[in-house]
Amino acid sequence: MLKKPFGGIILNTAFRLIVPFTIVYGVYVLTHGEFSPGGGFQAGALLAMGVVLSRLIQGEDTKFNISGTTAVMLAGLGAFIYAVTGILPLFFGGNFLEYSCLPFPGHGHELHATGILLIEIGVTLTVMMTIIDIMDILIKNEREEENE
Amino acid sequence: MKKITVIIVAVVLGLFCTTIGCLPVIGDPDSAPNSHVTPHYIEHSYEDTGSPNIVTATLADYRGFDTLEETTVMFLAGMTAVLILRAGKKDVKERDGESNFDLKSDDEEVEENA
Repeated sequence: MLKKPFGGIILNTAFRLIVPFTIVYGVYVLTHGEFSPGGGFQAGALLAMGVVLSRLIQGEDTKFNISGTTAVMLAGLGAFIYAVTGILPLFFGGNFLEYSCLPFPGHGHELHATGILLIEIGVTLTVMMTIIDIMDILIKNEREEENE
Repeated sequence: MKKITVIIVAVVLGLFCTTIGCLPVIGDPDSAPNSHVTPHYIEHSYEDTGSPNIVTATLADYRGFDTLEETTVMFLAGMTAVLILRAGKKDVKERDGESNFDLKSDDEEVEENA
């Protein structure tokens, strides 16, 4: 069922509106996570939905597609970004995850905002890629069953 | 072995049931977490973190280590799901491969192309 794209003319037209909106909204939720409701987990789910929708409607040739192997690597990279953001202040005279000791320009609250944005980028990557990963492996399993 | 498990579960369940009265009432303003930690976070989160959003301040700043583990758990859960699903797929393939080698090579080619 998921092997071929199942978009008709209506779905293809809706796809052009919905997917860019979802992705832009996901980035908005991510970058405004510090000031408004939202954050890494929600942004990750939104971005993953953009990719999943385009994969379902347009099939595997869609431009937004991310393969399972890449998704696994990027999910690991997300957790890695978070851990590095935590460990970096240790080398500059701070505690673990003490954002005000990060080696970036700016001070005080600016550094706090930078740190929070960094860890939220990590969370977003992990959540997004995990969702894409599971969807990818389920589709692959289905294709194998069809081939048998 | 099963009997021991049942006994342990029964004992723990009994303990939970008898001690449930010691838990604070939901929404009780005088309970320990509501009278020490929470007011401090609500009053000082902006000065401490500079973030006007108290949820983010708690999630990313006061409880940053917790969120790190949360992310790791999510990553591990995804990996586990992928590994389990992939392992099931491989079993089917090996079983088919024993009966028909041509079929096996065809399957592998399809996988490589995808």
